Amino acid sequence: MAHLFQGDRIRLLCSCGLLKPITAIYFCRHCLKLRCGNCVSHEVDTLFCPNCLENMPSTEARLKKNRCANCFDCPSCGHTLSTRATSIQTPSPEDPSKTVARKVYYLACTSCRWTTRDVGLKDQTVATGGWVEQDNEHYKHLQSLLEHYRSVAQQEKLEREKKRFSHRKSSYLSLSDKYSLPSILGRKSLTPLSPFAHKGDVSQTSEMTPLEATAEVEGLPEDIFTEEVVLSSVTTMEQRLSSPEWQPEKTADLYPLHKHILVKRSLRCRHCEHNLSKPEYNPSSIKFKIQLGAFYHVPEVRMVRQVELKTGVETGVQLSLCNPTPHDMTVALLPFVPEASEVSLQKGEESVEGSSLNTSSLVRVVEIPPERTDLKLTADVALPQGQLILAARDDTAEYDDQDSSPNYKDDPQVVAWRRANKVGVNLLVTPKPDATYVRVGFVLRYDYTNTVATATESRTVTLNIPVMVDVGPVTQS
Amino acid sequence: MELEDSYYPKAQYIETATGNRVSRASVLCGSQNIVLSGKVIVLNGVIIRGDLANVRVGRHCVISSRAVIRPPFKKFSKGVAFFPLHIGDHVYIGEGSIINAAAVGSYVYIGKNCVIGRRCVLKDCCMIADNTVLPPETVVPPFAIYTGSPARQTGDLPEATQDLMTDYTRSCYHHFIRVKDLPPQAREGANVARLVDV
Repeated sequence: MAHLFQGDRIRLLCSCGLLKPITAIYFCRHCLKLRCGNCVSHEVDTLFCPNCLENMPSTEARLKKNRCANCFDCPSCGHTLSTRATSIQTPSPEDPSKTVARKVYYLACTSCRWTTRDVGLKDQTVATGGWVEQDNEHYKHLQSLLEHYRSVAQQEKLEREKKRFSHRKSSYLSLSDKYSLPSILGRKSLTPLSPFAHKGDVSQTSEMTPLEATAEVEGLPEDIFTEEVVLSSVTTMEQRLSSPEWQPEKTADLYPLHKHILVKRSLRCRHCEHNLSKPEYNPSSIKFKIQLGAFYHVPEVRMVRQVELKTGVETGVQLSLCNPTPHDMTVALLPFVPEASEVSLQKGEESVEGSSLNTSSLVRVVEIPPERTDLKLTADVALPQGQLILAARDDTAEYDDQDSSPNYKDDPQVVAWRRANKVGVNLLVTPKPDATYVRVGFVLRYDYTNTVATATESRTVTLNIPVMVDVGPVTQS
Repeated sequence: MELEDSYYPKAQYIETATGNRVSRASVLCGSQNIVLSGKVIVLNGVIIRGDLANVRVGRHCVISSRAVIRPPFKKFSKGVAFFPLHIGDHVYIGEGSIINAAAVGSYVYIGKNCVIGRRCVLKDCCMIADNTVLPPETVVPPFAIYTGSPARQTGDLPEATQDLMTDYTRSCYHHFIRVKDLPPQAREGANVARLVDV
């Protein structure tokens, strides 16, 4: 986003104390507070392969270790492998004397030209699904370890159920994800776990012999010092570690890797459990079912142009304020005191602790401690006094040649220009004596019209948001 | 930072009825196969190879100077065939980039000096950073940022990317202003369009 309008120069102070640009912040309509990626809970919505863009249900993903079944990565450079076909002449099964042309497939990388033929893998007769998995010599041992720990987890769960008689839903999520047991959240139709159900099945632990640690390691082969190293046949660390189960040392042992799958996540406010961002199911779609970004609810502040700053010289900086809502908005810029905001964060933390125990939620309500960010201001700013009115956002304004700006009476010293729902505001910035980079802060006060469905009529609330602007470096005069 | 006004002399650009502003110093081969959907800016030095296959460019696109838009080909047993190239709406293509993709979605940002390999598919709302090389047949999923050579995913775009790209390309078009003639000191310079004998 910074590549477009340099949006990371203007940052808002989130309710958790971090400074984030407006595109990285969400606005919770119920708490009327800003939430950033750090203080929301992220949930996995859908899983999909980045190459074939195919959805994968989470249970299948867990079985396949979060990898796509059909798409492969080149073990040499990491790019996606593409399937190539050639036709060969083979004797037909019915009549050995006649030869029939048959298509065989192999995988090739278009970026580094690695092919499966380089490592000696046979060409497959089927286009997809023919490539066999490699054998892992420790597979059996790892499976038995997993089984053992699953039974241990079951035991612990039963013991915990016996102690606790009330059904606390908050621990279900943590238990189900421990050792990847099937999620208890899906078991709505089954009878709820009761402490008295499993009395008889207690003694089910399988015995595992623990592995013994030895200090003896088998020695290096004798020719390791005399044999010439051919660098092209030795794998790089990145190639070796991209398949951690086998870690091939020679390039002749490289095998195609299944592609990792990507995740679409949905975000939820930790305090009121409402969704802030929920994408659509289809991986190729860019639409959202719920999209409560600050970009759509908070006025966007942007610097208009870069100005040259000198120490002690009062320079004019122009900011543009844009109203994203379909209602008229009254905006005021107030001075920002960093110490006052730290105190309010502390107070906010105490009040939230008291209320969190009342929420019965499926999501663990984890308290995020407020962050301490550097809010030092390195310049004095003269803010325009009084309130400004921003027009509502009108999507048809692009096609309308008439400018509706004469309706608003603007003070020419404060308002530089007005265009549709944007207003240009003049500020005067004076860098402090020992400042090398000018950072200016103010509090943006605006009124927000609440359109939550539960409210019978839309209420207008006044909200304050601290904003930090990175104006630019100070040139030494 | 809001965009600065950039001026173009009337004589060096063609403005069509749908609002496309095409530089006379760009090379559009096979112009009957090239469709510019409206309010597209094509700067100087751009080469669009419509003679190989159809090229469709969506609304409000910006194709910066010296970019090359070339439809991809596929090798068959009986020779090669060129496939049409569709570029979506509100796409920004940086200077000097070479686009051989099979399809570019909408709201895509392509940086400077990128090489998009043949038959790549760029989905909506993705970003290709400056100087990246996308090897052939890469699929770039939505909201991904790809960097490096060969390109890897290095980041994610925010959810508001669609509106940001719309705002950016509209703003580029709005700030691309026609003047009768450039002032004398701006007439010489590397980024001034010159009439080229093709």
